[in-house]
Amino acid sequence: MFRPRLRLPRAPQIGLTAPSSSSSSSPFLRPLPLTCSRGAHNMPKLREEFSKDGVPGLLSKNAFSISWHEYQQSILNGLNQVIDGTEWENKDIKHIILNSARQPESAVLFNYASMAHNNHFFFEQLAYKPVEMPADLELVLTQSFGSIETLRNQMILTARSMFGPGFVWLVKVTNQVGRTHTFKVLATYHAGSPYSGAHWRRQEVEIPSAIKNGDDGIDEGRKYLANSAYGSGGRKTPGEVKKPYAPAPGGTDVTPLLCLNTWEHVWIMDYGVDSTEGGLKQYAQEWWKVIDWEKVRNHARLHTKPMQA
Amino acid sequence: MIIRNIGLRHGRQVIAASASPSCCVRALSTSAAKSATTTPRAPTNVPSFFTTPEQRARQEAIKAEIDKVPDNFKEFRSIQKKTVKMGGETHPRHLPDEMLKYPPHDATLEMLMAAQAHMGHNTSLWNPANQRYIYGVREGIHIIALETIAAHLRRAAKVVEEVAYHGGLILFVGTRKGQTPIVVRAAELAGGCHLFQQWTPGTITNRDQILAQGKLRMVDELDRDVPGFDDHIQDCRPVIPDLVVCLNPLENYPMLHECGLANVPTIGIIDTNADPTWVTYQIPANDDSLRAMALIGAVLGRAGQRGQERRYADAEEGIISWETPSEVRRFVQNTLAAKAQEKKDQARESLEPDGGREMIESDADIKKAIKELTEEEGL
Repeated sequence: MFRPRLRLPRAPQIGLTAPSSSSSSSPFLRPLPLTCSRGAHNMPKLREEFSKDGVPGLLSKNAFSISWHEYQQSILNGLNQVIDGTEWENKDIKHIILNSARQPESAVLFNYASMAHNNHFFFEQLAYKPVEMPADLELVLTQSFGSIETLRNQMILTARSMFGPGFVWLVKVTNQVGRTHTFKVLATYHAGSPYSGAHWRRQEVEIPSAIKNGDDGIDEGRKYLANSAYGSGGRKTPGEVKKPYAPAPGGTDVTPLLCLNTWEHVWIMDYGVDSTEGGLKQYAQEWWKVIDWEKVRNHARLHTKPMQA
Repeated sequence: MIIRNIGLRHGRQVIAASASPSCCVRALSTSAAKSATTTPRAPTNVPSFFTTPEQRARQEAIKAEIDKVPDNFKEFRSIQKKTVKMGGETHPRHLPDEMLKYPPHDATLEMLMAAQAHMGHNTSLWNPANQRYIYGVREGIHIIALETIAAHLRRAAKVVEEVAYHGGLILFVGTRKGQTPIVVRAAELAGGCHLFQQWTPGTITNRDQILAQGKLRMVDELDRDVPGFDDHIQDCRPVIPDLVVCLNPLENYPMLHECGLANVPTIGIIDTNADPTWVTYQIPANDDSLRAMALIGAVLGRAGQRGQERRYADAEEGIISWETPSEVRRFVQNTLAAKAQEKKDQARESLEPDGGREMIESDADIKKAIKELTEEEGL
């Protein structure tokens, strides 16, 4: 019933070497030895130019290599260690996220998988050269937000108002009732996931900040848990009018398009820790200029029919 | 994938939750909010004049839901394609279906070892007649030498290829659990037949009774149906295979014995506990490993495919690699003789010179005779 797992002694972690002494192509952190490396997740590949020059306009070469090469490898190392020898081997990252979101016992698994996914998502949507927003995307975003300037401000303000690391997402929400698409901005703390299938771990709010003290706080907490238990569908609580909402089949009602990584290790080296003038504020402003809007449009799938229930 | 009971591993809370695929599917879909129209159970096929309007409406609703599935699935697939591998990619090294989808033409020693083809049985269970194939002993089992496996496999592949080239019928037999797709795919590639259920004793020796229902076809050098042989097909004996490939000889002794009686050559996978004298061409390998059987089946299937392709290529140029069976030849001869006799009688009646009896001496004569027959009967 319980299969004994062969545990290999952990190899010493290769520490951070001086950036100047290592070449840009070799990762600073080597993957750890595993009993079975077939099911291990490998580093995804980004544009080659990023490794040489960093992200022009956003991150220096050093900051990029630490927040992508080293950090992603360390997260994948953690994930591989956790799934090594279990039934989660060989499963795709999104599959792991959706299936471990509900179980608190699989929190470690979820955190690593979701962090790897979100971090890659962030870097995937960055452009090497500035990309103009396509007209059809601009149209639908303007319909949802009023103007592109409003969207930009909303995302930057959301990032600044988050106390603690996380991600700020631009997502497309599909409502089956009117078969409409709307776009909204979503914040996830730590390794929270925007997918509706992982709504248990969306982590939209910092619970200590959201819940009041005293009995009201207990009620609020219960309401929060009740809401998260029933997901983005929105359950009718006593005294509340249920909003008509029918989620799309296959958990595709929330489609992430774009995200901003507000974890400190990404921006602290280039922008400093001062949150009033430099720091996160400037980082978010610079980020807006290097978004690859073509990729965002690809993810948005504007001209295909939405899935019908 | 081994599905373990996640409940037992992780604690009391989920002890009731079973680790069935359905719970993974549930996690992917937004089951929290149920759709407004619940899926009605599919009604049994009832003729329309018995159905009520409600039943008809339900049937239409079901049909409408099913019609949405292809578009929905396509959309879902393209969304998944973008997001599923975001974060990290795994590279699974072995997918069991790959051997069936992309069968290899030859097996290297590494492939044979990866398929566990070298693992024999416990040393106490061996058949000493197999000692020539055994490399040694490890962990209490006999190890079959990889080079021996490869050499014998290549010899068997050559036999399969040449039999297919000469128009022979190859039967692939694999009656163990899990061997069905292997055997079916190999037969498909080689243009032969498959058997994955128990061999009925007497299928060769008593074929007039057992195979009486089987349909027969008369084909030419390019495997096209030849008309005008319905009489022969109705009267002739059922055919037997020209070569039998057996993946589990230990369970098919009656079949192999019958093949021996009927002079049908056999190829068999001989494990360390099997009897090598039961088959004509032995392939010493591990018959308990499905992966090894898939590999060997794929290699032999591909060999048959190559033989068929060569046969068609030669036939298109006029080189025919096989001869008409003697019974078919005899049938044609007799039919033509009968026709000639008829003509003679008619001629005698109408005082015309007789047509004469034609002798069938070669395949070209047969072709000419068929052409004449079909033209006469207006086919």
